Amino acid sequence: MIDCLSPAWVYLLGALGLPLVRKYRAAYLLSIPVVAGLVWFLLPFGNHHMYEFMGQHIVMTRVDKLSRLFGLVFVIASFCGVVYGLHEKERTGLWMGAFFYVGGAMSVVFAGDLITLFIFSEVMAFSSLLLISFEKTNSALSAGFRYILVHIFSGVCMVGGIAIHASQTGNVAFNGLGVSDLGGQLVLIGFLVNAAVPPLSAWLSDAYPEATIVGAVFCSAFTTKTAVYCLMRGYAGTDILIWMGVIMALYGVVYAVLENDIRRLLSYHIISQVGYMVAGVGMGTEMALNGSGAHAFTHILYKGLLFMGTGAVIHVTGKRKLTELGGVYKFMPITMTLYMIGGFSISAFPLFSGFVSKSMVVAAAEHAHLLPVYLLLTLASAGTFLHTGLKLPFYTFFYQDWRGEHLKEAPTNMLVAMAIMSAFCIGIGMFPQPLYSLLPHPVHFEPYSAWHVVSSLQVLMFTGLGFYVLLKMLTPDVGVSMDTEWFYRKGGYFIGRQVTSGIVYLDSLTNNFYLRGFTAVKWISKMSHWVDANIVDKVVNDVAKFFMALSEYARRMQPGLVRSYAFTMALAFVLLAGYYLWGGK
Amino acid sequence: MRGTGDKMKPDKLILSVLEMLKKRGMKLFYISLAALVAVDVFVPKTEPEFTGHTWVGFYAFYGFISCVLIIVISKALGKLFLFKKEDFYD
Repeated sequence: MIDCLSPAWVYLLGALGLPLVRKYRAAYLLSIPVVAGLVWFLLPFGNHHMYEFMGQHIVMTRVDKLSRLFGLVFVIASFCGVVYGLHEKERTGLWMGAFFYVGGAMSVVFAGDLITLFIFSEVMAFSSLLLISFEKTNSALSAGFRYILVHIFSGVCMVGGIAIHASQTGNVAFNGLGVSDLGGQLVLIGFLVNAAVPPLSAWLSDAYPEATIVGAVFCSAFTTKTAVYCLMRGYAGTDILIWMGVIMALYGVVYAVLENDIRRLLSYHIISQVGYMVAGVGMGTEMALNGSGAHAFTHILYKGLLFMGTGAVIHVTGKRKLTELGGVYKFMPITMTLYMIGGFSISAFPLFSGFVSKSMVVAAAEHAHLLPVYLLLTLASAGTFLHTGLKLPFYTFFYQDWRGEHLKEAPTNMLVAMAIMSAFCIGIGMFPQPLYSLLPHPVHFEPYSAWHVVSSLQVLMFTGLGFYVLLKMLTPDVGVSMDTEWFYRKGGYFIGRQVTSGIVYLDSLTNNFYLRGFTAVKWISKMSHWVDANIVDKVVNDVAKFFMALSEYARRMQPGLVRSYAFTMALAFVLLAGYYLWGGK
Repeated sequence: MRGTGDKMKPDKLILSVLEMLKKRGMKLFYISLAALVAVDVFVPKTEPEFTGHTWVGFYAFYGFISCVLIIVISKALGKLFLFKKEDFYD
């Protein structure tokens, strides 16, 4: 049964063991992803850890090229995340949350059946809540509350869909699920929420900016990419996803223009980049799916790097808004450079990782003759470079001189983590073949053709020109953008007001009723009392008086002389005897 | 660790690169823009999938227009209703 270990167990057991570890915490924390990586390397292909449960066939660990790809990038990202957060190694709760989260993500990615998928999706939701709420500010706690509500909703959709699907097909195998039946549709909705597809995406831009600095790095990598994996596994080729992906890509980019909070800007970019992956899943061709997988891989690494960079800025300066930053490069030049490597990667500059992954998805659209998709995704790419590669770093690191006190570069562990991620971004960008060999389908895409390099650089450099020309329009403003969370924040507030005013009204009605009714009750009780005193009691008294008089009378009837008693007894005997002998024939 | 100042230490290196970029950055930028459009004439275009693909400077133009469009449309949407004051929800 247990013929191999699963990387997921390393994280889950590591989380459980953490409270027992007092000394050498850093070594313990670092060893978990390392051991998990080793386990990953030794994982044999195929289905493992299978057993029967409630009449269903459970496959806890299903290893094929797709799940193994995600497993590897999770190991890398979690290792760098641990390095990044070493300065907070004493926060046991935070790290337990992080390792349960990664372990849950691993379990979902390696799940061969829907039940395992669901259980560990819930584990992921609740453990990532810790990563958000442990920031302990009021906004973090309330954002965490909304976050978990949304994820409970997605979990309910998932479990309902799974139940319907299982009852119709008779099994819970996690492979392609169609959207033709309600079960498949519900599970899709659950995955879409977790992948932050608008309009169900507000949880991401709401919660990630409020999360702990270390936690946000983990969150950016796992929930959405696990959902992308689920979509790739379950819904490849579902056409509606193509347009959802394109809308996502544009949606994220439009909102990002308005953003002032640096991590909220990056959160909208997560939505934008995941849009490419979702569109690739929708297209369903081998190149498109390869592109989605490759893009998920590179995205985890460069998005993690970007969150690390901005997290470092927040850690050092205490500021998170573009309007309050500027001139940071003078004392954080290394952070700035490493951030820019992430920025160039997300923008798909040649020699960086995004170039070999994002362009695969876009090229797949071109090859599938989906011209509007191709053009719109290219447009979104320009937008991505505009914000993440130009606007954010310009207003954070440059623009104006830093007006606060003299500060230092970020702690060394953060810099080391960012450096490792950067190395991957550049390494994959320059040598994509190792990544390509891990992709689920054979790769026939050649990113470094002369034409591809030139056309990509044209788009990017002329976007830069546009940035320079319209610089005045891009000055950040103080404010927040309104997203679909409006519905359950303000909307909920209004509904709550209506409901409470309705309740207040009903309450006043019942109060009136009670007051009037109470008067009636008082009257009734007065009446009963009168009836009781004047009628009932009277009768009782009169009956009692009657019996007392009767007993007085009866008492006087008895003389008490023995002679009388004897005569009465003899007379009674003669009469009785006579009745027996002559009366009853 | 932060004792002797050294030209090769990473942050000093970066700062000196930035200094150089400040002086000559814009020139380099414009030269690269021109070069990219020029190269467009000579580069072999693989499998043109649609008409605009082969026009010289198409992608340059597209990049610039995309950038302008995104900024203008997003700002407009923001002014209209998306952008709220900070304490909107409180």
